[in-house]
Amino acid sequence: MSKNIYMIGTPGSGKSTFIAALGYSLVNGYGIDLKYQIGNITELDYVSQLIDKWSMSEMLERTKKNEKNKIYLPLLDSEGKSIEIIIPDQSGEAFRKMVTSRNVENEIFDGILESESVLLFVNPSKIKPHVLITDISEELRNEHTEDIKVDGDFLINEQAEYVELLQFLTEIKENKVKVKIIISAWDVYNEYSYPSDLLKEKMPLMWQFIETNKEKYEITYWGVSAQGGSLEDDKQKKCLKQKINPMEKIIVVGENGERSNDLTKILE
Amino acid sequence: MNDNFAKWYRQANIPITDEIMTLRQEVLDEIIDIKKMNQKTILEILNIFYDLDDTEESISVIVEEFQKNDSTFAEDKIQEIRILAGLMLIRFIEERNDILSLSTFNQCYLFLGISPAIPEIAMYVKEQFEQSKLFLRENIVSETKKNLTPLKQDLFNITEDSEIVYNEDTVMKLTEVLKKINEICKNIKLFQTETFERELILQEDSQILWWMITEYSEAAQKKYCDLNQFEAPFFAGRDLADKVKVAPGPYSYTGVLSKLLSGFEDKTYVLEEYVDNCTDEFIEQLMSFECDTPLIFALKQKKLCGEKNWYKIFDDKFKGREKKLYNSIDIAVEMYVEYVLAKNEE
Amino acid sequence: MPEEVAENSIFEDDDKGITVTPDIKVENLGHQMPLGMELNDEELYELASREKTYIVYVMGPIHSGKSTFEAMMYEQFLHSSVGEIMFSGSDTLLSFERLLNSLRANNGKSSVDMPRTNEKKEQAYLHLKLYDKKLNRKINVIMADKSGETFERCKSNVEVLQNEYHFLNVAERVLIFVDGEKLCDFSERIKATQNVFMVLNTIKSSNQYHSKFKVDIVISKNDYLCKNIDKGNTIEFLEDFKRRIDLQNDFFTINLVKVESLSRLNLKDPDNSISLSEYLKSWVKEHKSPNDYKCLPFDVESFRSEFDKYISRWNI
Repeated sequence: MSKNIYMIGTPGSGKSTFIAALGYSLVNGYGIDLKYQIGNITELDYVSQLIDKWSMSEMLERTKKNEKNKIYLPLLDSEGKSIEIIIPDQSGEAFRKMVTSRNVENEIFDGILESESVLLFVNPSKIKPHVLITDISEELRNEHTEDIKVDGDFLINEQAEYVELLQFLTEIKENKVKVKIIISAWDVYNEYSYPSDLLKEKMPLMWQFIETNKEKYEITYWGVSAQGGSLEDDKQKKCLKQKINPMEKIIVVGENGERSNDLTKILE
Repeated sequence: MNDNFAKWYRQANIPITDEIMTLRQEVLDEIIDIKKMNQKTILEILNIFYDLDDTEESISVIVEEFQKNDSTFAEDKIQEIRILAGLMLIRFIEERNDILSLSTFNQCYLFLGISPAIPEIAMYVKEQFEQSKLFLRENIVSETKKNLTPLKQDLFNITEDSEIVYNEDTVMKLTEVLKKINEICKNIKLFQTETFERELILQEDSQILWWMITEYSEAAQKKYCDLNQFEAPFFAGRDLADKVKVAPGPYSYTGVLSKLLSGFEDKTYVLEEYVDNCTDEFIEQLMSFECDTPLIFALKQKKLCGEKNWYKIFDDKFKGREKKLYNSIDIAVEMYVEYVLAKNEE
Repeated sequence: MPEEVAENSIFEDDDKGITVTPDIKVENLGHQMPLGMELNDEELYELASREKTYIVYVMGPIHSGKSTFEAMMYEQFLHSSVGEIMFSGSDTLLSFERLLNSLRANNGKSSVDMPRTNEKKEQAYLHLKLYDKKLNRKINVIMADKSGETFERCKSNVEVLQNEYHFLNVAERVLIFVDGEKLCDFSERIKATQNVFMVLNTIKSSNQYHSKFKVDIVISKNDYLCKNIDKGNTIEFLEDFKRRIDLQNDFFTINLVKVESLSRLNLKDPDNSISLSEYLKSWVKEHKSPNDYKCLPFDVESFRSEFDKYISRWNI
């Protein structure tokens, strides 16, 4: 039996890190109480590359713009039944481009259409604050009155980007869409109990949109730290490298605040 | 109808071009035959107007009609479909006499606080209903003007002993006479029906007036002041409906019930509380009615499922209702209106 | 080539034998999503025929603050819900973002410079789907956004008004913007207020007018106005303006509203300005429940039936 899952998220939202951590958990998780265990592998080259870097707490490279990887994960559930999870790993740029060009590539379209559920990755720590010109004090503004040239098209607020991606999902799939909101970099927000509360505070537009469209989306919230900390902070990086079992750095927070290290729960 | 057509679309905030308006009006005027529509269909149209459930089939039928001249018209244009349903209701009220069922259900949905597509149309239906009740009595008081043209004086000039030749001329004169007799018979029949109706209404008036003086409920075998806050409105509404001989009954029914229940404090309760406190003996007499107007439906469900267990079925059937507070008169009026319809349909 | 085609053929005899190999190769077209820009008339009709809409026409001269107002109406949801009102989607999200981009600090500009609304565009409707938590219902707020140049052409010409604002009679509300900055300027203020009365007269004379017309005269940039109100006789001028607006109540349901679009909730003149959130709430709350509609009462004195007269005199 196979199960198609589609990952969506803007650049830096944590998709590849999630795959790396998930891959590590599956490969090294024998004997540990995970929702799913790894079955008979055919080929996991791409995942293996990600796992290598992740296990050494090294920064993963951003998935290149036109890079498309399709991951086939052979799994066994708690009853020993085999199930294959198919996850395309698309670059975040492709999704950003979708919003501005208003065009969904055939491959992405078909991938979403065939998928049973969508994992929507959001990294609130990467969301730029929304500041208006008038929010800056007049004195500061009057210090430099020349305009600064900004490259590229007009900039869309990330919250609006995610709302558009969600709106696209209902255009693609005519029935109710099953979406799992994965809030990554949870280590930064450990004081929050529930992922939905964090989304409400950090991305209110997206949260409002989800809450008021429950007839169109079947939503579950997850908080995930696939890395356990910031690799840009040397101290934290050192600490992570020293862990005996890298799986311990994974944080998974369910919708009702229940915590574990088991990323495979999200695949259910 | 043209100006009104645009007006109702405007009320519904649907920006419609002249072209689309013409297409819609064509179907309403030429394809949909209001005169042949049965009561079940018009009630389904009313349900669409109020956006109630179980209307998918009726919506499909309406969409099919409008697709005859506009292939882009689709089932997802639900707001527009509700407006068109409203326009059909107006046509029904204007062209038909049998508006009791439609008007009663319209009043029931307003009682529950369900939002119609265009409140002004719902009010128009209600106003026409009130007018029809008013004119029942107003027309009795006026003189009947029936114009029976007399036979020509010199049509026949026959004496007893004279001979009549049955030629063409005679046959024509006889035909004239026959036609006149036919006309007279029709008028007598009409006059009889009207007179009978008037007598019923006059009898109704006197029965109601005497009943108002006694302030006694036959059904409960008690004075209304001896009934409790919850029982009294049900009995009062039903008792008045029992006295109605000619539907839809008197225009002043609200005033009558208001007078009878004037002894009760103006306290308000939710519908559920009234229904849960209604006795099973009272409900028993309603079980034979087939119509499922809100109060009768709620009472029957309460008997079948028990107190509180009927809430969900009721909310599912009358989706979108407001959780309003009602006083005794509101309940009595609703009971009366529904009971009159139920009796009429039996 | 078949004879009948050959007879009417557009091809010349010399064209025979020419082959054309197109250079363009079309592949991987993908799937087109809705454009996310302003809706045109047809798209507006499609939306309104499916869902409840609340149409607001936004009119006013150039630089009177219309676009800023529209952008900020959306912007408030980027921070939180507006009381019980929550953002539930938009078919024109890119349009809002484009407007808001001119106000953002990261656009590289040191002062606000809203782009001029395109005069020629057919698409003019901005869409916000809102959810009222208290009433458990959704409503689509449509802001009809026409350029200042269009306003100048329409304000005194019935035919142009009817052509350009052809769904005005369907609108729940019409906002006529007056630039608050101009009200402080002696040389500009007469014209700024004159525009209002001119366009009201034009609307009244047009086929768009109906007796339930609701108009808000919106004084924008009230923060600037409040700061400069003591200059000269501005206060008296404004009072006189208000008085003249009130006289229009015979024809319109008319209100004077002062906004400070960029102040958000930190109003510089809280006694007189209305915040955008309160203003939006007033729009959404407007819908009447069926209980607010009453049957026309019949004239009891005209009844002939004594029964109806007697009973109807009871106070119901």
